[in-house]
Amino acid sequence: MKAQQLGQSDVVRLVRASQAGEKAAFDKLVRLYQRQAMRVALGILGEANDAAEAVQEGFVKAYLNIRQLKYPRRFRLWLLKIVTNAAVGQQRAARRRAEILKAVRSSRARREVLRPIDTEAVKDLKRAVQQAMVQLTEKEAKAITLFGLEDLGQDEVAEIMGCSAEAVRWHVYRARQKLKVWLKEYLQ
Amino acid sequence: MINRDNEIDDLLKRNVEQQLADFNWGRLTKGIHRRLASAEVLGSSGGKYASLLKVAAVIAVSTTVVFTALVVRMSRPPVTRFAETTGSARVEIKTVSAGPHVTVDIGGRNRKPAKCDIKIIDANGSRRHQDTRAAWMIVSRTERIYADNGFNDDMKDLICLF
Repeated sequence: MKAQQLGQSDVVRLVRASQAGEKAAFDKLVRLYQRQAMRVALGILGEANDAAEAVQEGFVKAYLNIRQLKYPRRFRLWLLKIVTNAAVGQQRAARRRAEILKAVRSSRARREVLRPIDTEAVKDLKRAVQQAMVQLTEKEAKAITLFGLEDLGQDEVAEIMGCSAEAVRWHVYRARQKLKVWLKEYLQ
Repeated sequence: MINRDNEIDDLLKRNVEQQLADFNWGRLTKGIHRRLASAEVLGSSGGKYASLLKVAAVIAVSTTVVFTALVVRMSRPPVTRFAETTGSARVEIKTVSAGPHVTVDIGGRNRKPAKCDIKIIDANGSRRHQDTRAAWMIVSRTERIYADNGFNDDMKDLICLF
């Protein structure tokens, strides 16, 4: 089932039913939006298993807090915000792990030169993108994923990120500049 | 407006499409449902625990209030007639040999004479009664009856326990 197959009023009805405690209605919302949620999480994290974890966490949070959603018609953006935050949270944890690993490695081999992307170790696009996304700021990662990858409007991205459209443009621009350098060998 | 036709955007989309090409959506859906079921169970049991916690909290607060009230009540000195009534009292020991009953005539209007048990202790002995919550009455005037019964007024204290 795709979101396009249901009208906005159907989504609103499902959200209201979910808010009333109807679990079957929320299951329909899960089937409706899990693909888009997965694309967003995967865009930020760059790895499918991590993204699936973030999506699951996001849906559980949405389910537990759906009564707090004031405007049912904004469910999609609200859900994407939750999933985005879950993905960024995972990315943050991955970054901390990477910093610990980096500290351990540097203590073992102090001559090692740290580079933004270890291009020699990058064997495929997946790993390259994964490493690059980790090194963007959280706002840059969110902005480029929601705007560049998911093709959401600037205002929608701004609503999800809780900032202005100008700030979204700036974060997208910065992300693109960085990724162009880090991923130049994969650009056609 | 930012240009949408960007090679970086296309690269990111290509990466996502590649990874999702053989992605197991059914597994993701099951995973979400499993997590939702767990969350539901936790939520409902959390609700039960919450009600139990509320009851426990009410009991704990009530017990604390009652206990505190008891402690405060016990730590206060008992209200005696002497605490209530300022002035003097007249203690008359009718016959010491007959028993410890005496008549206490507390000064003040509308006060009836009261009876109490008394204990005459030796001033030279151990005053174990000093830690009791008793009203001390100091005999300011010696009655003749003491002397008649052979008590030495200077060597005796009189305790009235109300």
